[in-house]
Amino acid sequence: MIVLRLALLSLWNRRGTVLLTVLGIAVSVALLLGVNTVRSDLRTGFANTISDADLIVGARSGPVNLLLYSVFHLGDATADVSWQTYSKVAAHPQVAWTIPLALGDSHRDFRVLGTTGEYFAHYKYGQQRPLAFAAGRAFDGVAEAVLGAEVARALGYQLGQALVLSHGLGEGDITLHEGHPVVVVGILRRTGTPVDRTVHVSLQAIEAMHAGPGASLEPESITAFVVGLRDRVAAFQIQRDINAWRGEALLAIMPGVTLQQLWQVVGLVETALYVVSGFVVFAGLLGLLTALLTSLNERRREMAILRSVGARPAHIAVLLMSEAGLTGFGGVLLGISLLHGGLRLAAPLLEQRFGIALAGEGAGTVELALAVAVVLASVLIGAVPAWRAYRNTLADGLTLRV
Amino acid sequence: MNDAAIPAIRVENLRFAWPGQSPVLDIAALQVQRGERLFLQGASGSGKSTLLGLIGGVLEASAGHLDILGQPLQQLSRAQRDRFRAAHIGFVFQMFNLLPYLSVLDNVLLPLRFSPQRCAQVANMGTTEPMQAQHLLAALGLADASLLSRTPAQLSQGQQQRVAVARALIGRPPVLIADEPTSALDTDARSAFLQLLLHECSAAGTTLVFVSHDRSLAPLFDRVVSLAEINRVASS
Repeated sequence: MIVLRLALLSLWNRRGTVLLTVLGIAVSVALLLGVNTVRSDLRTGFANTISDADLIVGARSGPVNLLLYSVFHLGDATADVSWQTYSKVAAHPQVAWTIPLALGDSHRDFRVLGTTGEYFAHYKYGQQRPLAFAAGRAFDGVAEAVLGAEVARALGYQLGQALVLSHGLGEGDITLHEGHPVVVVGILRRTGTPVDRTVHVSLQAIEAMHAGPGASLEPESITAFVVGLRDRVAAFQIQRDINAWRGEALLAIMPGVTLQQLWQVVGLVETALYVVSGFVVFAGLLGLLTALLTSLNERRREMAILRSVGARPAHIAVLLMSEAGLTGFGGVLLGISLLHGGLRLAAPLLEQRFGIALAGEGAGTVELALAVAVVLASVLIGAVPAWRAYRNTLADGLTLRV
Repeated sequence: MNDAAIPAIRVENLRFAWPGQSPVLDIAALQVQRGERLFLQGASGSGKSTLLGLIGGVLEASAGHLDILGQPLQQLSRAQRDRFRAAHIGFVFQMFNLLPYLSVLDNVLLPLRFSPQRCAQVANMGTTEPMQAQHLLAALGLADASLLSRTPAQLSQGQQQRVAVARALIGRPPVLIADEPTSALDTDARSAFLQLLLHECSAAGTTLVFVSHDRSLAPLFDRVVSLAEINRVASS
């Protein structure tokens, strides 16, 4: 079709300014899609971090707080659960298994988790996937540790590496438990969850560090524990029982439900981000309109030439609208490329911060919908200069204004 | 009906006024015969642009008759007038006639993209579109085949005007309107251009309406009409 070809050639002829317009749209599209992708990937990432766990139990605080510190290692527990209480819950006839979690120590920038062999047997992530070893085995003794994949990679640790754990988090004024080095006996496969950023040791190892030599290695308390039930139907009943526990203020949460609560809180921020990036797209499209309208005056001659060789006002209108549509299309294409390039750069940062891997996918339909919407909006925006050009061509007639 | 007997352009009591304004054009009578080469003398403000707009079908007469090749333009809708212009009239303007982003060849072929009749005319002549464009350019002194792929910016003014004539003549439109086509050319280029233009029109039997304020060119034409004299509202 001749008009489309003219549109392409005309755009190419003005490629400098057109490229700037395309870039403006591209950045705005990348921003909006980026917000969307990070949002959905984070949700998937969080949802994939723990599966097959019916309840998580900790000292009474907020459900979201408990979920964040126990599973995602974000923030700290305000209180512990006594070993006695833990043992009682674990002995409940409905309880199939439990994983105790003792947090509070660190190695370099990585959290140390004290737990038991149950962790490797029952912890599941993603679609019910169990943890797997890339090398070595589960810890067995007091002085053994199993590393998450990212810990091993970042610190360059191999099996047999001895490491010293420190009390507290962070690198500042912390006590090194130098008397109790642990040796790496296993390295886990990468999971794309906070497990990758965790140093796993036995509860006894934690106890040994904190208690003096010769003291009992029976832990006094743990931070939280994960519960798997024999029958999921009993979850509500058990949750009520734990929440009403006599003697200790406990809180039991269902991870999925609490995650939903978290998203409700985060939802407000997300909406704000969506609105802002939506306006940025709007601004990008306004840039397109500005560029089209400013070019229109310079192009009155071009329009008159086209009229004189037989182009009808409708041709002129279609020409301008297809130029707008092509510019928008270019912007969307470049924007999507920018996004995927950007995600490739940002993914490692997110993984370092949250231990959550960005899939960078799953937004396909949203991308398509936005692409279609932006191109349609561009064509509609092209209608404004098209209408102006239509009026101009009628007023100018065949006169070429210099 | 004998085609040759019908005037190429027939104007009778033609009036034009922008809405709510006094008329800018009022012509009692003007006829241009088929194959005639008319010199229409008109300074700016004489209603020249208005008359060309009316002949081109871009403007609509307020009153009176304007027939092109026997077709009363006022009987046609705006879109029909656009198609009629595309099929039957070629235009050459003062300067910058060419689209800067098309090659010389594509510029010459442009009218064919908008007019099936002119496409068919080229096919009837038993030649291809690029061959016909090349033929016209050669006849206008632009035989160099390397010119075809150049952009207008790489051509001199005189060359650009000749490309514009080739474009106006491709597909043999019966009428060619040239609006001050020589005013941007120096004297040497002007007479060379004019001779080529007149020769090509004669060869193709094209009716030529040559609009200019420069009376020194008038002797080369069949007939001279002063727009100021026939336009009853211009001289005031």
